[in-house]
Amino acid sequence: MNRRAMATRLAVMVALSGLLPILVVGAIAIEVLRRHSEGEAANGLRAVAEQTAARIDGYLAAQKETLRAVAAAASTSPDADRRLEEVVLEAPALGRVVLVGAATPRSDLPAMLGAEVVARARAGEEISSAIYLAKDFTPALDHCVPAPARPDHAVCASLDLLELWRFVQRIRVGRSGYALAFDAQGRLIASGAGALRAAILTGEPVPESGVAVAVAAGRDPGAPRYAGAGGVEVIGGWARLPEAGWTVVVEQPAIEALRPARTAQWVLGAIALVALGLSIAVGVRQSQRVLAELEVEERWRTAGRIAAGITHDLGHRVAILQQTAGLAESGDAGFLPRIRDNLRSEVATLRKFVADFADLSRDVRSLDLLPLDLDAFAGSVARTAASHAERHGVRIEVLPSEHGAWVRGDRYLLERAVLNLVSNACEASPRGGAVRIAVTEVEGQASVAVEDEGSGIDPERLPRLFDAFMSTKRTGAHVGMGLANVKRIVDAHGGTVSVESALGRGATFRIALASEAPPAPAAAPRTRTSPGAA
Amino acid sequence: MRPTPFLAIAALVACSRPAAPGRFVLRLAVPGILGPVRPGSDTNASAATDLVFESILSPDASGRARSTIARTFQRLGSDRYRIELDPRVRLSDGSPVEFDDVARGAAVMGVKAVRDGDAIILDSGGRPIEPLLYYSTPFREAGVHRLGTGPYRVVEEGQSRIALERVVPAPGRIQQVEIAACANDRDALARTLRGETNGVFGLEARLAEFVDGIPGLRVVRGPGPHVRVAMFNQARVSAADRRRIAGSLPWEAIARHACGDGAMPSVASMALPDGPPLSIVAFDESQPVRLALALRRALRGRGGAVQRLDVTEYLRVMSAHEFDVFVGQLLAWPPPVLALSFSRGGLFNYTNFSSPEIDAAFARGDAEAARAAIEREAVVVFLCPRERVGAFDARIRNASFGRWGVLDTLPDWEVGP
Repeated sequence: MNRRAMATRLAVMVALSGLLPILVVGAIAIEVLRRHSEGEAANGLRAVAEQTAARIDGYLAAQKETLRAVAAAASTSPDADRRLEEVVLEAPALGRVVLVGAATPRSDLPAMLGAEVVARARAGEEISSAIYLAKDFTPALDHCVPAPARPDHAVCASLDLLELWRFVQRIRVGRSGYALAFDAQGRLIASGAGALRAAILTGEPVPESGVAVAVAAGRDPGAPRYAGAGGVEVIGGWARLPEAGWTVVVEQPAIEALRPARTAQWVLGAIALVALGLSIAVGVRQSQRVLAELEVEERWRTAGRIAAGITHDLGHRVAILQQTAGLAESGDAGFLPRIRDNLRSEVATLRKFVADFADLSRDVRSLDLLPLDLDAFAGSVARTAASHAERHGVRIEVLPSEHGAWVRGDRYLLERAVLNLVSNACEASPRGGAVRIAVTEVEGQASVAVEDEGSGIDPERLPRLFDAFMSTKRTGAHVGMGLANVKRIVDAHGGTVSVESALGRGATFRIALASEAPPAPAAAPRTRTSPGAA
Repeated sequence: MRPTPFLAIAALVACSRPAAPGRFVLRLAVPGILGPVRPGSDTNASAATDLVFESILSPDASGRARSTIARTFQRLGSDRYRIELDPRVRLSDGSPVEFDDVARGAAVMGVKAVRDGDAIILDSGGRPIEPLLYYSTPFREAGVHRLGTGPYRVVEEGQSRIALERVVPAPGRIQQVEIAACANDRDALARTLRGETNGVFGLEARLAEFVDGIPGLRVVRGPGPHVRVAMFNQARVSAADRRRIAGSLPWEAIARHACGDGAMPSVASMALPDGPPLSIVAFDESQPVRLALALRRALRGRGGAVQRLDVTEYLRVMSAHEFDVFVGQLLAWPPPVLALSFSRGGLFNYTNFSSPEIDAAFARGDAEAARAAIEREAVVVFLCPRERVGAFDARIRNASFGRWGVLDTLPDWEVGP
């Protein structure tokens, strides 16, 4: 991960962790606002419905009162029939008004009231028909009142309720809220929504009919938010006309009624996004700056560690070489064997020193991956490390896998890694001890384990054991790059390196890689090394 | 415009299937059965005949006679016309209009056609000829369909559906018209409100505000050729009595009250001739009944019972002369069509009304004089025009009603996006 990506990641994490609580609180606030708005909208619509219902109720009451007055005024007149018939000229809303007696033919009775029903009116009871559509499709309602001072007579009118349509159609709530009126059976009788008016003519139910029936029956019609005409979600309020049994429903598309809450939602969302963007932008910039400073600091620290290691190791080597040079300057031939041994030893040490640096500088990203028989590989490593082991008085044992273990790897780099582990194990083990290179293959994972019989590793060192320049041996050419290099190589192979250690019982380093099927025998003959091969 | 608008009987017939999307089709909902598209059809196919056939004479906007098929037309007498066909006029199959086509169309209205060199003499046999020529449409039988000279041709015709297409395509105009038969007026209106059809006409004026505000529809209103009238029965009410009554009553105020928003005039101080109460019959519709009641109140003691009639009763009562005053509607525009009701032998002269002066005026071709005489003799009092009301697809920019044929202007309607 480069510095920019790391900076972005850091910035996003910081920004999100900062904004998340704000967003949560904002979301809660929006939900509260939405519910409050929904409740307020429903209340407002209910108020409009109640006003409309009261107005319709008042209109109906006025017409009936007019009919009563007309009945009182005209029914005693000798030409009552004629006077009542002409009432429509002054009171068009009363429609056709007739004086009804026991002998009135059926054809002269109101269209929707039978003789038995009208008889009740003649007996003193006011009666009304259900609302219906007249011949010209306008709404009408037959109503009869007893005729005062005219026993066994009633005055009946076919009330023209065109005004009902006007009331309802004129009501507008917001931009597209409207009113609907239903009879007691849930049949639409007036509609402010043009798209629903066909239902007035056909009598077919509309989505709000259920609400109207429930209201008319005195039941709770449920939540004020429901699917209205055309499946559009609406918020509704309703009111009942107690006498007529009709219901007025006033509704408004939810999207419109809740627009303020929705707007707040969008604004808050936009602010959060802008804040997030801003935080990330500023965070990235600042993180890059801080990371750059850290990198510079880390470089200096690394250089210091390297310098300390080099100073320590090379200083020791220089001291030995100075001492050797002193022996050479003495001209004493007796020192020649010691001078030779010193020079050989120091050259070997310096070679190892150079090799470690060479490994460190080697690019492990371009691997030369080939099938590798780990058993043969372990034997090869054992042979290569045999002389080193001998010098430390240690023997190397190879424990091959039970059924063979193949991986795909860069043989050279893996050998450098395993040799490093074996070399360390030889140095850590006591003279006469053994270093074991064990190969295993379990469930698709092959591993090479290097086990020593040394004193083990201090548990406090284990977590940073594979960090560069963390070696504390300082006994030879060890500047702490070996294990870091091992890890680098194994990581490049997609594998893992781990260590198990207990003080006084040695340590085991394990390189685990994905195993694969061995190649065809002809292409890669499998070789096995015997245990203990050195 | 057809002479028998009252004879259409509603039938339970399903509306037509919807047209394919993407192409504007005017789908008209019409109550009742449709039947074949032919001149003189008694069915509700008349909306289609107006678009497929053109009459020999038709009124222009001012009411004067014009002809779209004749190069020249000359009145030879009260019952004779001489016309020369315009050679550029073609039937919908592209063939020229011939004498036989004219004779065939004239014969439908009882008018005889005779060759006169390159011209044609049309003879109505003693009846005023102009109104008959308004209804005489040249046509030719061509297999299943009939060909006319109108802007549309018949593609499909049946009792439930008629499909017309424009003879000469015109961009931005209505290319296709479908007429769907519906069970009744209510069904026709409901289907249009639901969007299954996009045009309906013949609505009651009171329904205009009900239709107003329906998404995708626009209410169209306009004058038609019919007028609300009070017509005296000359057989039962003497001319002198008629004239005195007609001269005494505040007709304009009565009309304003019944047809508009005016207050009922005070009539208590008006002098009326003595006589028996006049029985009044009226179409059982809101406006005629109000007119009849207002008239009766104005007549005070002379006002008798008001009888409300449906169409069937109307024809019987008129033929039997069982009324003193009739309140209803009358075909009154252009003035020559009054001859149908007030000339001897007129097509709609159900009461056998006869007046030498009026007959003479019609014979002279002076319809204005005939109308003046009708009013002077107080045969009829013209009260208020009957408005045509309909609703059409709101994408049509300039929908309007023809003053004569209800859809006369349809070929010029422009369709917006």
